[in-house]
Amino acid sequence: MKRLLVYSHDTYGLGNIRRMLSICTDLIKHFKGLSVLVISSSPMIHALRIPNRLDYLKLPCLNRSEAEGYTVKFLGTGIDETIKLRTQLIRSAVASFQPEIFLIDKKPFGIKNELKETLEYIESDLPATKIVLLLRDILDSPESTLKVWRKNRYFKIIERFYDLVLVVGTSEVFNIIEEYRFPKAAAKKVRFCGYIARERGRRTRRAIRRELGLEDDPLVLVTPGGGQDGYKLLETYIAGLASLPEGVKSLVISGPEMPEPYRARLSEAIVRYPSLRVLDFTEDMMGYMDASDVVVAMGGYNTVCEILTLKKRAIIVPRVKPVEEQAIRAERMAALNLFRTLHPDRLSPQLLTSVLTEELAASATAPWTTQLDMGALPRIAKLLASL
Amino acid sequence: MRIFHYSHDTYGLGHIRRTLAIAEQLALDFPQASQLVVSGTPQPSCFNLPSRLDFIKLPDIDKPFQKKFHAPSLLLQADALKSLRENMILDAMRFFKPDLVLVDKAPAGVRGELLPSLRYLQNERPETKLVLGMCDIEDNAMIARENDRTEIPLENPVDAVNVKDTIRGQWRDQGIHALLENHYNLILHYGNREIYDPVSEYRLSGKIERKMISCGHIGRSSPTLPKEQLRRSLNLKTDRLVVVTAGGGEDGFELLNFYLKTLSHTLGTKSSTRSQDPNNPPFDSIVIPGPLMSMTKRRQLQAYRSMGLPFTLLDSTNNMFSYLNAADLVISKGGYNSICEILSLNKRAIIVPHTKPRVEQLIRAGRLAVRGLVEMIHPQKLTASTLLKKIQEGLEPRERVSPEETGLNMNGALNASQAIERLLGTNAAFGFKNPKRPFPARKGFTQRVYAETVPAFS
Repeated sequence: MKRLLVYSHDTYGLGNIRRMLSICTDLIKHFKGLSVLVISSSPMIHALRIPNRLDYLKLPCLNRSEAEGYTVKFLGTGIDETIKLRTQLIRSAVASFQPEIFLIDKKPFGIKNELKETLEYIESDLPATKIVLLLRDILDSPESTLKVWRKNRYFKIIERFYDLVLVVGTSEVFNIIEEYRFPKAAAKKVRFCGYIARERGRRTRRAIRRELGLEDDPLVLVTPGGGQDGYKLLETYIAGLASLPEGVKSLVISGPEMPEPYRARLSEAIVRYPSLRVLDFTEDMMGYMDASDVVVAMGGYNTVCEILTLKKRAIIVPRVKPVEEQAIRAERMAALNLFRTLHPDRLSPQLLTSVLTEELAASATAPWTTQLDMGALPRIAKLLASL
Repeated sequence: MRIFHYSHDTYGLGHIRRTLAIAEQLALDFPQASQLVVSGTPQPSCFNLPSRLDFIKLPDIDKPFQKKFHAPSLLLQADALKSLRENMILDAMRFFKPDLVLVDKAPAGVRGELLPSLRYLQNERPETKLVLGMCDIEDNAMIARENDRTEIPLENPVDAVNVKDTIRGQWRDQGIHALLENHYNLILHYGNREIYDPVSEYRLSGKIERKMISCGHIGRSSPTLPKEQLRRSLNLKTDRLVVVTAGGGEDGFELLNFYLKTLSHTLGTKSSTRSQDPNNPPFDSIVIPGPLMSMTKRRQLQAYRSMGLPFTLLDSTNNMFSYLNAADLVISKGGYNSICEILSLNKRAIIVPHTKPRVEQLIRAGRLAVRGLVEMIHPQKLTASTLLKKIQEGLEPRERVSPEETGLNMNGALNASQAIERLLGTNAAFGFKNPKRPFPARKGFTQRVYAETVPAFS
């Protein structure tokens, strides 16, 4: 394979694009002479390290809200004309780049069907180009997902245009075919690839602990992912700080999308608690996570993969709405004994600190051992090579 | 109103930062405008962008003279990449329907990739205003000749490299003069003609000169983390801070490496015995490689730390302006933006310009050094003892003249925006007068300054 084109579906956050880039980075290592062009509208793509032989086309950003549906995030232009602009740019990219494989994230026809024209063009003019869909382990509750998929005729689109559907998860955790009732023709194209093992951090556990001035003190890493809706978790955590065992240090990575008033409140908390540090954003999450003893986090796909890769003890407080993906993931994985989970509705400083205290005590003596299939990357490379 | 920015991207981050500085000012003065930036340069943090502005980032153009540092990002034939970008720029132009197109530095675009779009505008949307933004000292045409390895005199570095002929020749060969005369409505020079006059240096025609407005250098007023907060988070050992920056980082490795080597000779390391104790350095150092420096090179710099040399190496920062603000002395290359930031903060600085492949930095640094605004060390004169001597001098307290006091106009963005306002005829009474007033605080969009380092637990 020489030319891979990737469509990454993003409205906010880093999750989708980070997952896609880690897949691409691995494919670049695997296929000699491969060039990857990523089409993305993530407002955060600049914050990620871009490997050699990969470049990206960033489109004008969109936003999604329950009330209004898709809107134009920054540009201040109308949604329809902006989708037209994006559609045209995607089509030009395909026509000039002539990919052998077009890998599409999550939405078979893209946002607001912006891929439709391009897929039809590929069908008629580039018949050798293979079209592959990439799905996260869990999209949403079967109820909501089915509704959207049926309404948009996604199963039909998969049948007509797609060669392969890759799921970066396992049927053990969530069997997408059964849960979302894939019709036979679409189900035949599905391959479960396992979860994505994350690359080691840039710095070692020792180096980071030295930088932080930690000796043998236990470190708790608290991360609400991108941070846009994670303040409640941080607030609850900070409210319980005083009742944590002595010597425990806490590093909060609040996330680049933490709203401003909350960031200000975190700055106030730092002054009150000498055992607390706050970082807005890091490019080395794996490094910090490795340096920690217990992780308190929300249940986003990437965070969970980081925890599973490092085999860290963790307490997951998932997002439960508007999308139930995190809640389902947390519940299923906790049932498989991969970490502990607390429902956000039950969350209180007392409960969080008491569970955390148990985990801290256990982390010193019993490392976490349960493991999941983390072989997504080599499996994806193999499946794409077989096309 | 719709503004389309085309930003040149063959080298470093300078162009995009200049484009954004202008866009920020336009967002203030035209709050209803939508601005679309089209460029191959990665966008900076979106939280520090004006509202109603977004990016289309094109696949990167390959950088022939950098192949030894970077693999090209896409293994495409040059003409395939060119047609890909040409088409996307044209798509963007057709569907965004701009009222104003502001082109940064390359009137025909990189390798002429703007020409199809310019033809489209002329035929289909002739009412669109076309504006060129020019750097204080143009560099895209200033390809230095072999003989620039000889020493270049500080006072008049241009004489030694015959730059005038080079740029004039290139612009003539590429038909740039005709493009400026016949297609562009306005030319904005983001510099001071007293320092470098593009009209006489490039022999521009009277017709072009009449379209040109010298706006001044683009002064910065970005918000910063408070100086003391930033210093605290760095766990400094002394009260004197030297910040060493390589700008975007594509070609700054040698300077940073030389700085650290010099420090290691002076301070010694764990494995050697030197006069000074590395635990008690005479000043603190922060070394900022810049986002474009390769991992291999970062690791080489990081290696000085494992030798026990006391300095902070930042992995990357979105807060360059905050670090410069916190510094007592800045050591930097001579890129346009670094220099504008240093001048805006009126920082003491030692500039080590690059001299290849272009001499623009050398000219800039030399002319500012003559005015006493910065110290310059020619890279060929860069020795450990010269550098240390300049650092020691630079850290001694001294009266400073501000750039404005020496007659430098630092209101580039404001003046550019006013010139555009006049061109569009939205406020004809608002005359261009080169006002020596401070650039306004930028309102109307959220700016965020992230903490990227944390103080150690005590």
